[in-house]
Amino acid sequence: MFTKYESSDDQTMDEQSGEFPSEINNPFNKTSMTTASKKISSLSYQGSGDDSDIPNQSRGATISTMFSTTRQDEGSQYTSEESFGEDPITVGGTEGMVEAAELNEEIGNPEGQESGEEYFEATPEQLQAGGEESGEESGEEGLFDTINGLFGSEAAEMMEAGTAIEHGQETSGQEEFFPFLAALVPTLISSIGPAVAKKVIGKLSPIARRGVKRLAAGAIKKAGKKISPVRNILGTFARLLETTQDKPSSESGAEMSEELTALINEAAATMEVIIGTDDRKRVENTSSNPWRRICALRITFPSGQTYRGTGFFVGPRAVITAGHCVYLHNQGGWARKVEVIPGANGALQPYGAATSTTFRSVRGWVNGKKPEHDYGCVVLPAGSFGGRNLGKFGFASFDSKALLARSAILSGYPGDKPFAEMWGMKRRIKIATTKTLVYDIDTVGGQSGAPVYIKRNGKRYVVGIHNYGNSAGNSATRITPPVFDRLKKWSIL
Amino acid sequence: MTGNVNGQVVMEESGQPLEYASIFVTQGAGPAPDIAPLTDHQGRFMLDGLPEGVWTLHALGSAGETGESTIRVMADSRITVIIPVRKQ
Repeated sequence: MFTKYESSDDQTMDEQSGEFPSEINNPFNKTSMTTASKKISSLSYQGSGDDSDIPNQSRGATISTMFSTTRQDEGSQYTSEESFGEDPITVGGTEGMVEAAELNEEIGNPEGQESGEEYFEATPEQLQAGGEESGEESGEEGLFDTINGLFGSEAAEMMEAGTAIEHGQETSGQEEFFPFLAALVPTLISSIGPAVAKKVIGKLSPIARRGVKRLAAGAIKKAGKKISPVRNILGTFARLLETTQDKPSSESGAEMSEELTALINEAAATMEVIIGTDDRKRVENTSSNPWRRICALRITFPSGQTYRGTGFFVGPRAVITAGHCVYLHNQGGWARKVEVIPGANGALQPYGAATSTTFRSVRGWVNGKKPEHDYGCVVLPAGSFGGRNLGKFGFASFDSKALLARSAILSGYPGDKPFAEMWGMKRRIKIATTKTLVYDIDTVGGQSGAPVYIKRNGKRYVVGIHNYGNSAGNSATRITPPVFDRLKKWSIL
Repeated sequence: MTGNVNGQVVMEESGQPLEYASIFVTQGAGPAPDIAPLTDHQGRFMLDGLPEGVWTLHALGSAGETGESTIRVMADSRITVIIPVRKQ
């Protein structure tokens, strides 16, 4: 289900075989490098003006020469100094004209752009179908023998973190918060009754309502076993949700006291936070694959402000991240420096850290500030991490049908946890637009730049670069053919 | 339409600024960049690109201090918020 690259190895990267090795710590021979160079030179990137590469020191004719296989000009073009993003962005030859024209057209006609966009949304049945072994997946691919086998070590790693139970049951992440619910909600239910539950449910966002349903389903399945009060409450909420969805509530808000209203609001807010947003599990073994290919980022901008983010390797020197992790429009533009810590695990840095001052992004983000083009690259100094090659993620451009309702994993370094703790989650992709993917995988600030990947034919493929959080669904820049081309070029820097 | 936030994290009891606190959104009015500001030595941070509306920002200190504030972000403007935190 690759789009234009279905039958071509040129457009799919295997993290194990490394078809596009770099000269830095290259475990492969020069023949493969030559092959890669030829493939790259045959690709066109004119058709994607917004995905034109922009280094953090833009110079004239950069675009037309930057993919030279000799890379003799790297030092002057890409070595960052203390000047960031001030130079005009210029491109050479007709390529630049095409790119500029397309960029202007796109900026000037957002409605037109949207009207032609592809939009696929998974049905509830697809999203809630029996976990990983849906007929669609197994029928098309014939790849997944068992549920546990789907993501191999990732599934094991996720499970190691606690008592997670797949397919609609509660996880350790929520168990952690249950005491708060236990303290708050039972009193409301037992003393005041279902009317309150209706009010609480009515205040929840769609994602939290779905979470209540999912959790309650798990609790109901445990009938016959001892069920905790909180799980009973979730069941109550779920039943109320189902019975009241099409019926207006008979209780008026005026009948509720201020105190009760405050309690309802607090209960809803608590559930929103707990159920609506936290199914993540901590990754402990961060030095194993693929976790060591994910990096904690500490980003400093010229304004002096510092941020936490996430990135992932696609080449020995190339760490892909969100565009806003390397270029923030209101913080002086290009980052002053980014500290990269692969496989960080709290205070433990299994491979050390490297600081980069060389970055890439694309026109659509730097000039256009478009969320769908919000991706970039941290180019590591040669010899970082003692010259050790930590591996790289594969990435691929799949068509929407191949992505929709496919389980994806997103792991990164969220800001609601102590610095550099890796947390991740697996859930299905629910919406695929032309340029973005939307999912209910829980994320928190700090996970920008995390890989969103699926597994296919036993190999991992990054299909999105996470960059935005939203209660209606978190989202990533989708790996489209133009994005793929850009990443491939960055991967051999 | 988006707006921006200038903030400061301070200890609730003493008013002292808290450095290295991580800021993240717990409730918002739309898509927000999933980047987490870290406070500087004055406890200050900036968070940009938030869609107009009500947002709840949470602060987590390196020693587990926590607190949050709810703000209303206005388009094309920068508002100021103080997040008081306390040790847990």
